[in-house]
Amino acid sequence: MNRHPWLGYIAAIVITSIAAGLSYLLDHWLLPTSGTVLILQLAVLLIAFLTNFRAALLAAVSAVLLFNFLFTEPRYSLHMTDVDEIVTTIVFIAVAVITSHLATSFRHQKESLRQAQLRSNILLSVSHDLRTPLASVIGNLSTLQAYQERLPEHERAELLQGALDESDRLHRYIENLLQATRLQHGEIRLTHAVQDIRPVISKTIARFPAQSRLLVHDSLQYAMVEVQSSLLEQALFNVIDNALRFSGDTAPVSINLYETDNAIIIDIKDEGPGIDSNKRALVFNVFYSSREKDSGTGGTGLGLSVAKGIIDTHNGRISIEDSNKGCLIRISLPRASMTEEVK
Amino acid sequence: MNAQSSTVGTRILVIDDEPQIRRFMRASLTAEGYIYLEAATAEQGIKQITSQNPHLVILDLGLPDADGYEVMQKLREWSQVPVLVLTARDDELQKVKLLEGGANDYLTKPFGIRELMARIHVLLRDLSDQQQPSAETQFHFGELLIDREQHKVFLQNEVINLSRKEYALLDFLASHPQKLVTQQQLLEKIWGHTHHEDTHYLRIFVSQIRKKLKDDPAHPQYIETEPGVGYRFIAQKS
Repeated sequence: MNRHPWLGYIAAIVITSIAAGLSYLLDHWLLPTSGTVLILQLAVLLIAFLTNFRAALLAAVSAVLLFNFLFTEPRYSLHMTDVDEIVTTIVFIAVAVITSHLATSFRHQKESLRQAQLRSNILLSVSHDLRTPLASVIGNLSTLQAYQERLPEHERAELLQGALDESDRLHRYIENLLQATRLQHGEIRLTHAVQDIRPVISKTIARFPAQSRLLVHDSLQYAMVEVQSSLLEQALFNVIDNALRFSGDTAPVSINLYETDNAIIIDIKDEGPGIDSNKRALVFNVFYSSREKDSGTGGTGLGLSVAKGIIDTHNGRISIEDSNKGCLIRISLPRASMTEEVK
Repeated sequence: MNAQSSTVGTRILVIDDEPQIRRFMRASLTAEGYIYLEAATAEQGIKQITSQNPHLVILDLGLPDADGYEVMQKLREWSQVPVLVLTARDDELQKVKLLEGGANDYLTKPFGIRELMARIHVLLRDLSDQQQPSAETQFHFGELLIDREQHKVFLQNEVINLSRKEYALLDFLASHPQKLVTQQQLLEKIWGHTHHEDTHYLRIFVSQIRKKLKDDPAHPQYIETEPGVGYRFIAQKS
């Protein structure tokens, strides 16, 4: 409700009216004036906890006016003569303001606690994802250094290759981390160029050691898009990397290229376990991961969110589509017009 | 590194789901002469422990199928095998919880292989120490001498005046060289069961001992602090 302050005001009016209506009904059954005051006070408290400070003040003012109009002598007028009722009204306003204030600071504290927890979770996740590949690099290299002459040749080669692979993994992770930060701060300035998307895709595919598992089906007639190729490459890499990760060691990942009237579409489909429909909205969130705790399975929670950030800055769309098996991620990029191509 | 003869026939089980970590562990442990066993999940690990009866277990906390703490608890119900825990988190509370749950030591990733080997040697040495208790009454650590018969401590041949508790603390730490001793173990040993929470006693006593031994806490020669967890006596016996 914080995003729409007017929702708070509406809630304030509605809840106060209900409270006043209820009191009015009970009034016929000889509810004392103090009972009415308590019911109205409860309404203000409720609004203070549910919405915001201003809405609670509005509720307090309307509650006082309604109290004055409906329940104090002379009834059905805003005049007040009885000293008791004047004192009640003043105390009512004071209590309402104080409770609203308390409720507001309670909500602020709850929110900052949530933010702090989120930050600390992110920090834990980042430090885990930096440490894991580093542990392999340092472990492999220090093993080589300490036991060089005692290790058979093929083990030495394996350790070196492992250190290199893990350095690559670390490099990609850091790139994604930096990109995510830039995207969040809106610091990406695109230097677009109208170009054919096919070389961007083949360059991305060439980065995977498991190229034979990537099946490309290209039915594009017109393939021009306006993109920054290094960024788009990173987005595609993240999506394909994710698809490969979730389809086991051998299952293929298909990449289909086709076009609609105004867009170029890239469908990336794996044969993994797929994504539950209720989690589809989450997978593009930064630091969302299927990983549980510190286990090495599952991703870092950066890849798809960075991909979405990049596709968004290209005015494209990335979504998870229904698929009978596995997961289908669809990237659509606006077609570049011919006139721009000439420019 | 240490003589290989002592490692012959010693079985070490590594439970870690990262194949890269297992690879360098296999290479180094095999090169040290240990018999290397491995498991990628908690379930496989428990199975291996029952069937292979390893002398030492290296357990990664982030396993896909179980929480490291639960594995530790389950294991301690029936096995006293020394466990060295690997964690990718630098989280004091988690470490304390694990050590209380029965882990013998921990290493935070990333770590160098020499550090790992040093920890393994200490844990395995503990094991053989338990079998044959030492009859020594004097311990030399460079310029430091602890005489257990006289209950006296000498630094560069001069007597250091330690209170009874200070002596007990230093003696307990020094009788477990290189080994992590938790705050709880120390409090229980020296102050008794009722003082589990009184970690400030330790800070005060350790700082007094350090002063008397002229040990710089930033670059300790004798007592190293594992923040929030415990202490380690780091001097080598001479």
